[in-house]
Amino acid sequence: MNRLVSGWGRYPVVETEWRETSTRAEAVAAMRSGGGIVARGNGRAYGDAAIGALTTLSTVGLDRMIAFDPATGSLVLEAGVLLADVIATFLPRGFFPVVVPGTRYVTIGGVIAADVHGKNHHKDGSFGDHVIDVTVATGSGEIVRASRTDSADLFWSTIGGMGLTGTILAATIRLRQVETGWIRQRIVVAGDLTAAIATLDAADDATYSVAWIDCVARGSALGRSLVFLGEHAGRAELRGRAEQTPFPTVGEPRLTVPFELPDIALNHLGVVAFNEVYFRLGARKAGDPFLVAAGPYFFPLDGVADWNRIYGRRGFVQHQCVLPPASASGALAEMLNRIARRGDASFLAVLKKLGRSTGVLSFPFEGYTLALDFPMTHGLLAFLDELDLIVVKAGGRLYLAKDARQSRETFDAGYPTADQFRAFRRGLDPAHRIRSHLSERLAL
Amino acid sequence: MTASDKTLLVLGGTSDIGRATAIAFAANGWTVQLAGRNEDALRREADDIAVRTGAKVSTHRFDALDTGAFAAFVDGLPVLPDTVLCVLGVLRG
Repeated sequence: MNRLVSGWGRYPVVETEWRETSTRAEAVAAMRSGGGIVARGNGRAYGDAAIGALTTLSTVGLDRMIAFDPATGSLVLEAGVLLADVIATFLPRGFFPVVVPGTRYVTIGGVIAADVHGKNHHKDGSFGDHVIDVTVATGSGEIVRASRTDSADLFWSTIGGMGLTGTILAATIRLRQVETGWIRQRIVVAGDLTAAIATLDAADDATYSVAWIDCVARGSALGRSLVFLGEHAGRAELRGRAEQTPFPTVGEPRLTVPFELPDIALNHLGVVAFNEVYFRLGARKAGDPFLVAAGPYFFPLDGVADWNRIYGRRGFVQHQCVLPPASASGALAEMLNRIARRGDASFLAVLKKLGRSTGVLSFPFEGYTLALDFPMTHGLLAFLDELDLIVVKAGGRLYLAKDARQSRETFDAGYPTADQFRAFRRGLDPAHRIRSHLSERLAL
Repeated sequence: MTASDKTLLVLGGTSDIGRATAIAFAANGWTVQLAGRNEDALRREADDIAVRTGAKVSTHRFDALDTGAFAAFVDGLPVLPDTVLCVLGVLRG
């Protein structure tokens, strides 16, 4: 069966054969049956990473949990289990994933393949740092269990490998113990970009830290931000409603976007107004810490189902780069200046400090990452190419899970391990069966 | 008698409706017995239900067409169930 497939950004949209698997045997059969295949989880990669060159293999049917050891927090589960499912099952028992991305509607296979990071990357590393082993169906249809000690090359290439080493069937991950489902949050106002970076630097000891940047602000206010710091709250800190419900439900979305909004919906004035209001509301709450439930703290956008539809039929593109510390502030200022001048302000702009890298092709390295959303408009792709030049010149790179359009040159400049990954893939999958639109675009 | 003393037997334990029902009972403290033909598939469901709910889940080979084996099947159950759910045949997904 053929189907039109796209990532979360709804750009690009590509027709591929669609296959579904709900058992290991079906996954292996699919890997053996032909070429041009790649696994897909819940479709939350923004671009073309989880779209097969010819065939897209949905793994959401591989959604069973296998074993849990409360003494160590280690959880064995199939790759199609949603992080939302893990949280709903284990948060009430006092366990939480060590690393969560900005949405919980991602599969375990997806978060491993993208080696996602969260607001605690500077402190706890990426998701891959808390994976004990992975079970992979390779391009030849062989099932291999890989860990730091067994088939270690496969392990480090699968973490952050965008599904290109094989279909992840199962994994063992580590959960952390938490006393409550509440986060003690503190907001710090940063008047400009320098202050935002300094605030993040000063917050190295904070478990969670992230800055929301007002991309509309220009001049002396360029880069003005709200920096959100967070810690898991202990039982003794809970008061009032929180004391009654130490583990608040991380509920289903309360709102939904039932259809694509007209392109006018997110016009420039709307974004300007939103940013001003958001900044002032945040600034008003700045100062003393307050408690926030884990759900809205980690996954604010999950409260609105299908929020990607607000960008209209043409979809949107994310641009997320990481920049080394020495060149970050200059490159960030240049990018924010160009964005503010262009007027087509990014609705979401997030700045975060990252720590060291994990997998061979993992995105993070020590520095600062800036994530931006842009509605797909005429001229956007050329504009993003300009931003790429700034990133490359600064020694940075782009996040493959968000990427839909970077050039091979940009990719190769940012990922010095790309050839190592290509060579490993040639050895593992000589028939070159596993191919996604992303791997074709970047000749991976 | 509390829910923790009660046992549900699901005939057709690998069906979607059997799984969903078993999870709901297990989440309410019931012990679950899953019966069906494919023992590997039963084990997969049993592990999943046990991890999700913390309930005790056992698996039992059962073939509805093998009527002569019914008595041995019932004898082999660790306890007689309080409730039996039959989701065999056409309901299998």
